[in-house]
Parts: sequence; structure tokens; C-alpha cells
Amino acid sequence: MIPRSGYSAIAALCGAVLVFFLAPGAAAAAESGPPAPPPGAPEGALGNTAAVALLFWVLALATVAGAVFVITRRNMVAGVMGLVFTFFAVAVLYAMLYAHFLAVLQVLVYAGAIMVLFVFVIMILNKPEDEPWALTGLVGKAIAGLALLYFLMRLGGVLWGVREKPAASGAELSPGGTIQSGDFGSLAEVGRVLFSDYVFAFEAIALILLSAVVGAITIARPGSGSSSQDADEGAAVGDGERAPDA
Amino acid sequence: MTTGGQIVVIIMIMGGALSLAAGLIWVERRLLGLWQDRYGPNRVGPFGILQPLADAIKLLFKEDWSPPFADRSVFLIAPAVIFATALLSLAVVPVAPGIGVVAEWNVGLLFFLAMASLGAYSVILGGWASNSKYSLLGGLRAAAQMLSYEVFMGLSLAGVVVLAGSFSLAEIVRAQADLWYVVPQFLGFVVFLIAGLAETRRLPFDLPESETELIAGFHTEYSGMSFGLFFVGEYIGIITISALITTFFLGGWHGPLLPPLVWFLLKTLVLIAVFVLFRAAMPRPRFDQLMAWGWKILLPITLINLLVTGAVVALP
Repeated sequence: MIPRSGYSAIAALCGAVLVFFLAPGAAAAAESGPPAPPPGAPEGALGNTAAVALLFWVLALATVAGAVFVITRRNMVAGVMGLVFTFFAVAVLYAMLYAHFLAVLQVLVYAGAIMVLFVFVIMILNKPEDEPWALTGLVGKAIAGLALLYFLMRLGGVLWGVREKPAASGAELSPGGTIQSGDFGSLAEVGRVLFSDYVFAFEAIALILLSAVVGAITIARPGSGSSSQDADEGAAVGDGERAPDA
Repeated sequence: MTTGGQIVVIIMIMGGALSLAAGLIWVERRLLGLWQDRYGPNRVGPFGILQPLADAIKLLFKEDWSPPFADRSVFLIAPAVIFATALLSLAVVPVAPGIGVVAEWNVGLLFFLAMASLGAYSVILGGWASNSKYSLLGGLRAAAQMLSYEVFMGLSLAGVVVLAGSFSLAEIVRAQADLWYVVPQFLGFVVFLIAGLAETRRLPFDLPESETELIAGFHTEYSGMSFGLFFVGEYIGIITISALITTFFLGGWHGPLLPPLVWFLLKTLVLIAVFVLFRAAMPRPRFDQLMAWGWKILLPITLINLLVTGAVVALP
């Protein structure tokens, strides 16, 4: 629905919007100095304000560029690699926030485990690169335009919120507040919060994952499932157990 | 430690691992010759010790050919990934008290597991990008094998973490001053050893590249130094796994009389020889057997091990 050059135009637009909204905020942040490192943080780490700001911008741009790369590739493996790149950039952003545990988990779980599974599935499907199904004509263009408008509105809304924030949340982020406790971002602290404040969400996610596993086994297991279509297929391929019943 | 000292340590560990990997090419072939009642390489230099040098020169001067049907960029990146991740894993290993790149890092163990899981990309993408059926089959096998054994690898270390109370490798070694964890964590040790074999794709778990059925599996299409990177990456993987088994289960640098560094190297080298012995002595299982052993035997063992360890630590 959008020609190839259209994606580049969207990317450029997004970049321009980002710079427009974030540049004043970043400049203000750079003037006010970096957030004080939590007690126990390595001495001298992230000391230089300009360097930190530069690093943040490089990483932020890399994150966005990786994400844009993902949605503009026809080749699925290239798309997955773009997503892995994005996860790496996010992991470094976590590390810059003294959340080393989260940074390593980001690499271990997302880049290392989940994306390997993605590649595995793509390899098994082994679908050739082909023209994606697309709406054409006036209707298609209208839908694309509306989607683009909605996307820009949401993006603008989010970025506007970011710019408003620093003044309001200055007090919350002050040293000694709840966020910067002694071992902020450490393994023990994350574990304590996970199993006390967020224990319900943690257990709920465990149940959701369990249901996904049970569902996958139910679908994959031969001879299970009792729909008539299933039985017909079983008979058609000469399934030993099913043939007599069907 | 000063920045200069730290850089020296980094260079020493990286250079040491790389030269050890080169030496291993000769050591492995000579040991295999010994155990299989034949000579092994003995023509280049005394006892054939210059064989790795000859191999390296040959590989460097061979044409680095990439097939026209390959996905070129991914094809070129894949061998570099395994090399880089295997070397990065060594960063968290403490070779002696206070000596190590980031040995005190409080998420060192997780970092090693993350690097191990990233290593899987190399073989999967190498197999996929080669765009040939043997490579693709090898890549698929590698993906399934490494994804499965990563699970047991992580779980088998959970018992060690429970006993030591830390994810920092230096802390884990210090906790073994009185008793090596191979004694209370024997099941974890066995599972980690098997998972380490599977992660480095060494015999008997070299199904992704089994030459009798898949020619060379995922690296069938590789030549020259691209193949060399896979080759050296595998040896660095063996060194890394041996060094980590030493750290987690065999007390790291602890030992009487000799200096800590010597003890660490001694234990690591013995484990490397054990890896070679496995190759000389064990037959290769079928792929379904590999998967069944993993999920039906190793997984329950690690879970029971973790349960018992947790109970013993929690109960007074």
C-alpha cells in the first residue's frame, strides 16, 4: 500500500518529530547535570555529562533505526536481526541506568532465547520472500492515511508527555527517594520487588505461559483433539490409531 | 586495580585463550592418535607441534569463497558471532584471586548464559544463509539442540547459586574454599558437563555437523578463514566451558602448595583432555535420542537437584 520509498519518508518524519520534541528536553537535562549515581555504583562511571548525553542519543537512534529496519524488510531473517539489534541497544540503555541485571536479562531472554525461536520458526516455514498482500486503490490509500494519522497522533501524545515530565517528577527522582534505594537495579532488589509488590502479575504471567504450553502440546500431539475434521485428516493420512474409528 | 593493569589482564586472558585454542588443534589430534592407536600429526616441527601454524597459514591463503546462492551479509557475519561470544564469556571467569576481566560482576553467571544463547545464532544463521539442504538441516539440528540444552545448563547452575548465594563468579569460587561444589552438587556437575558438550557441539553431540550424514552440517559451504573462525570458535568454546566447570564445581583457583593461577590452568587443561577423551570414546546418538535424554532425564534430574538443594539450605 505504501511504496518502498514511502517507508523511508515515514522514518525520516519520525526522526524529525523525535528531534523536534526531545531536543529541548535533552538540552535542559544536560544543563541540570546527570542523575546522581546510586550509592554503591562504580566510582567514575558515567561521570561526563556530555558523553552520557551523546551515548544516550546514539543508542536511542540505534533503537529506533533497528525498529524501522524490522518493519521495512521483506526478508524475515533480516527483520529478526534488526529486532535483535534493537534489543541490544535497549540492553545498553538499561546498563546506563545502573540496571545491569535487567540489561543482561534483556540479552539472555529476548535476544538469546525468544529471537532464536523466531529464527527457528522462520527456518522451518522456509517461506520465500514474496510480495505481501496489500490493499490497493483509493480504499487502501485511505486506510493507510488514517493509520499513519493515528500513529503520528499517538507518537505526538507520547512525546508531549515526555517533555512535560521532568519538572513534575524532579522530586520523585531525588536521591534518597523510593526509586534510588541502596542496591537499585541489583539482583536482590529486583527479586524482592518481583515477589512482593508484583507477585500477582508474576503468577498471572506464569499461568498464561503455562496455558500456552498446554495448548501447544494439545495441538501438536497426534491422536488428540476430537473435532470431526481432525478425525477425517487422521484417516486420510492413514493414522494407525484413528483409522478404525473413522 | 588500575586501568593499565586491567588492560594487561584483558590482553593476557584473550591472548592466552587464543593461543591455547591454536595449541588445542595439535593437542587434540595427538591425543586422539594416542587413544586410537595411531600417530596423529608428527611431520611439521618436533612432534608435529608446528601443525597449527601450518594449518593457519593454509587457511589464510585459501580463497574465502561464498556461494552465489548464499545470503551474503548473514553468511559473513555468522562465523564472527560464535568467535566473539565464546571469547566474551571468558570475561567473567576469575583465573586467580583478584585477576579477571569483570570476575566480580554481580550478574556474571547470567552474562555467561546470555553469551551461550547468543552463540546459537552463529550456527543457525550460518546454516540458513548457506542456502543448501545439508547446511539447513545442520542449522535446524543446532537450533533445537542448543535451545534445549541451554535450559538444563541454566538450571544445573541454580544449585551452585543457591549454595554460594551470589551470581558473581569470584564469589562462587571464594565460597568453595572448604568444599568443592562437585561434592554437594554432583548431579548439577554431571548435567552441566553434558550440557556443555551439547552447547559446544562436540562429539558425541556433534549432530549438527555429523559428516556421515550431513557432510559438515552448518559449515558445509564455508571455506578459508570463515571456516577457520567456526573451527577456532569451537575450541574457544571448549576452553570456556572447561574454565567454567572449574569455576563452578572444581573450586576454581583453590588448591594446596601450587600458586592459584597454576591450579586454575591445571584443572582447566585436565577438563579439556576429558573433552577430547569423550570424542575418542563415545559413539554418536540419534537426534531423537539426544532430545529424549535431555527433556526426559536431564530436566527432571536438575529440577530434583534444585529442590533438594533449596530444601537443605532453607531448613536449619
